[in-house]
Amino acid sequence: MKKILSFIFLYTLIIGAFAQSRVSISGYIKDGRNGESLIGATLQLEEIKSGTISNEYGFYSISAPPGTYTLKVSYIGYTTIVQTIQLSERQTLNFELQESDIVLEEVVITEKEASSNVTDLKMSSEKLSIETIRKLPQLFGEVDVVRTMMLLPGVQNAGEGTTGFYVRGGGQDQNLILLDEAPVYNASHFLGFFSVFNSDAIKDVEIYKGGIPAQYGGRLSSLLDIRMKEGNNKKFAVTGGVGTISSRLTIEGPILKDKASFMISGRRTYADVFLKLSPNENQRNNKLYFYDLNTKINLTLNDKNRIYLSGYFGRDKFGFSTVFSLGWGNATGTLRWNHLFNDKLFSNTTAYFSNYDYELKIGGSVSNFKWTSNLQETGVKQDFTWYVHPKHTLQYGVQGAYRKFLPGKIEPTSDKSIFNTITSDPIYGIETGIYISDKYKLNKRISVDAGLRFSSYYNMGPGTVYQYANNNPRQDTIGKTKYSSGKLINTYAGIEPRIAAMYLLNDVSSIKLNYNRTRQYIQLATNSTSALPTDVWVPSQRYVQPQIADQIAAGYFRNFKQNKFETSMEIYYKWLTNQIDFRDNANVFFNQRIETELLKGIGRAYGSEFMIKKQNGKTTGWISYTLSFTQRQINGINNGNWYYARYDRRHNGNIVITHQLTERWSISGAFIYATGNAVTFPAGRYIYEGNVVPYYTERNGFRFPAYHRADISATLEGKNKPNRKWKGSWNFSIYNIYMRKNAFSIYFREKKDNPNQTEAVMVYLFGIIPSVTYNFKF
Amino acid sequence: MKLIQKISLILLVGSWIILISGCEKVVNVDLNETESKVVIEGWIYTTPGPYKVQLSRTGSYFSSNPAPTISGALVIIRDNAGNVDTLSETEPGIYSTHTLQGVSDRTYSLQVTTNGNTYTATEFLPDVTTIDTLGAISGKDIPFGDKDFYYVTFYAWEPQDKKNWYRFILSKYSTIIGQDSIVNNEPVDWIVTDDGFVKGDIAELPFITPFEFNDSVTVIMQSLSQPAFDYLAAMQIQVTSDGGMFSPPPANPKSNISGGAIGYFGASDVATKSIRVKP
Repeated sequence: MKKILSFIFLYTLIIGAFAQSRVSISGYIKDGRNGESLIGATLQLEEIKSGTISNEYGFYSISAPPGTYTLKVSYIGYTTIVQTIQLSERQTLNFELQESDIVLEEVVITEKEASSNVTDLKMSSEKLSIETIRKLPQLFGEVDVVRTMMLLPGVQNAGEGTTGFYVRGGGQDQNLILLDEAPVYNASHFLGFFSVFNSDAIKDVEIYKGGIPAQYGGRLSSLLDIRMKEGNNKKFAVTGGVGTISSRLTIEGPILKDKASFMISGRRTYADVFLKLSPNENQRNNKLYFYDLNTKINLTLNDKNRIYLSGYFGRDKFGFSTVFSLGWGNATGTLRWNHLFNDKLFSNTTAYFSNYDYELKIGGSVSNFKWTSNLQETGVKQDFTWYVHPKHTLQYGVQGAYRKFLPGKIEPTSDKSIFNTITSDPIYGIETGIYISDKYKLNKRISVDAGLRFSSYYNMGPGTVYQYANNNPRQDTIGKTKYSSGKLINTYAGIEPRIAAMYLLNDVSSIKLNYNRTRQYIQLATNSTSALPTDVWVPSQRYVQPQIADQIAAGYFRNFKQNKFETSMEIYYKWLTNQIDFRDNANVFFNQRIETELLKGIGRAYGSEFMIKKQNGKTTGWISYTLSFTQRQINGINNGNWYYARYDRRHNGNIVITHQLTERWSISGAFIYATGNAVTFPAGRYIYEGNVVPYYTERNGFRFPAYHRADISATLEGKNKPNRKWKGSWNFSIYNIYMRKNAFSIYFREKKDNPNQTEAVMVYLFGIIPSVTYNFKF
Repeated sequence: MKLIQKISLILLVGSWIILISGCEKVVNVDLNETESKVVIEGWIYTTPGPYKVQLSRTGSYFSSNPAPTISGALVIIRDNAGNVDTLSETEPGIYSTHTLQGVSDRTYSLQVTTNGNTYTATEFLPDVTTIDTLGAISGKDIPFGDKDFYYVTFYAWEPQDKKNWYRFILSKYSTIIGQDSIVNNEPVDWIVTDDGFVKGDIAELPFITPFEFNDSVTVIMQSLSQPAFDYLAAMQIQVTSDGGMFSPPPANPKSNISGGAIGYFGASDVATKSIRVKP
């Protein structure tokens, strides 16, 4: 640890030494319409071909020798600002970009320079704007950022309709989902059919499938970074929508013009309203809804200090008469403070809180009980970005998080209940991280981002650790050790190198490479393919080692026709260690010693992704193809042989196209093709006590039929009348237009006319689903 | 607890699937054939025998033939008190004991020799508590109940000094009117459960099996060893699994038979009580 610190110190000294005799310009880049900061906007000094990109808070900083420069600020979908500046002393320049109406005209870029997808070090990442997502066809008309992400190469779903996603062969617990820097532990509503992210409250979504910056840790396979809107700081605005499943309403506006603004956004479903109309009393008592509330306040104290406060609260409720109910939800809160130490040193301090809990209730006079469980994480992050020199950008920081899990508590809900009150022992842990990375522009062609992260996890008391014969939890218990409060039970720590390199071949093409090691100190124990609200998060402990992944990826990026078409090809290989799975027919429910049910193994995933994208003009969209392999090898499963994960997809192709027909009408279409899930089917059957029992030989040795479907949608924007504030738009979506019956599951049953014979039955969820959504703004 | 867990999950998923208008379609699936395995099913009880051991083989999954039986095997059951019983084949593939009777706290071992292969299994016979009494309540008063039916309720003292595993078998004894000689006593439902989270004093606990007015219902409570519980619970999950994303991955229940055969050799203490269903 000391070594790392002194290394960081030394390194910063060396870099600092040649940061002289340059003047810097810095500032914020914003959306001129509503004052929202623009993330990832490009700022370029034409004469020296030197550029930078605005960070997550819209801040940029660049330095250059004194002189006269042509400065260009651009962001996709916005009119580029070109301005001549005299650079003699350091200055602050804020920019407000105006949204361009040029969607209807084909943009002609005459300069022969590559856009950032070629020149930026970043690879294996994708960014989607909410505007793009909104125009695409959606299931039940619910605009869903996570589901739309699955149309990207390398991001896969587990099956029809679900929002649990798998990135490059990683499990769905290996995705770090951050909502304004706070981790979200269960990002699904309705058992996974919708994600918790209300599109009206979201500004920016970015997914990293690899090349995860050193700043982020704690999950192996991906980072889904979701940023909430800050709120219009120019004028009050109300946006909303009425859809098939839910309605939304967002209010935003300035508290102090250009200084402070707020945003509050809500969404609720209303299926249960219709249940109330049912003639059946039991049906009327059923509950079925979810809601979300997002809110954010931001305050610009002065040029150097900004504060953001944001929160999310969401809940699902599912109740079956008085017999059974299940409720679950997340709450997150984030407080951030941006501070400029000087025009080159940007600091962000984050304090966050995240809570996930669920409650299961069973009614009845004697068999009643209530089962609750929750997980809380409180953390702080201190991140610095030091724009040392146009050639060097340093990012470094420290992070710490405290987690408390309460795996479960059972309480009777009446005196007559046959159940005792039982509380499982809470589990306490602290995860820390320290990192540094340097984005180094070696020369015009070569850039390197070398990062190093050191993470550690401390499993804290109170707690009980059991000892097993041969140190194997699958064998007899031979003793136990009790640890008192605050005592250190177990420690894991390790280094995570994150390295990326880029070689610019010519003006329009480049080669990129990256290597990533990630460590994960918590994993989701799930015994089924789709995550249930009741799945348990298992932190690293004595017998559950942290998962480690190493990924290498290489890519070729080339743009055609003045950057109108962006193409990319990536290959990756990922090694995974300390993967856990449950032993066959494991008892997962309220198990205090989960280690006795776990099996450990390794995994590997490899493949290649191809994509052609068009971001400008009347017609936009992408075509992608992924070839991938995902395997696991776990002793105790499949006789210890390698087997394909259920979500292994040999082929996956997507076509997503949006076309602006007229000023008011736009149409979109999406086509998805994927190899069917790998599943286990019986190799034989036998009779035991009169039951026909399937007999299995190989794990996931069979495939569902291929999955494919096409969706279309049309959006009609309201007439643009200068004096009318109200702006409405209609979205018509048709999901699965040719009514493909895609397998959700296949099960076997005795034939009705001949019980000696068995037949296979496929269950499919959705036929064709049309939906209409009305959105408004004033 | 297992039961409640299962019911809630089935209910949860079931209603979701209905809600989102799930549909079914019979499809053709090509399954790989595998070499046939020996299947052994046998139970020892504390109630008088003879007890049966059934030997059969796994068959092709879509086959319309009944499971092939194994005849001419040598089947021996021993206990740790020195009793030995060599079973006789009374029907093809079914072997019956002669003198053996199960006694709680004894350990039983099974030895089967067929086609030159020997398969063995050992099982402990745990004791079971007694059923104090049974009752019946209307379906409208219990969770998951159907108001047109009645449900049998259970009263017992559950020993709290050690962990116990149980199987309950509910059977219906009905007399067909006009033919007094024909009686029908058939098991209608069975469940396995453990005593986790349960208080010692159990009163008015309903079984989720609907009965009609005047049905004669027998509740058989059997003690199980933990491996037997695991086997039966896993078998029930696998038999009822819909293979969907909310189901656990398909896996074979863990057999206690060594030598490469599948199935289970179990031993149970038995407590029984009957009731005629009246409101």
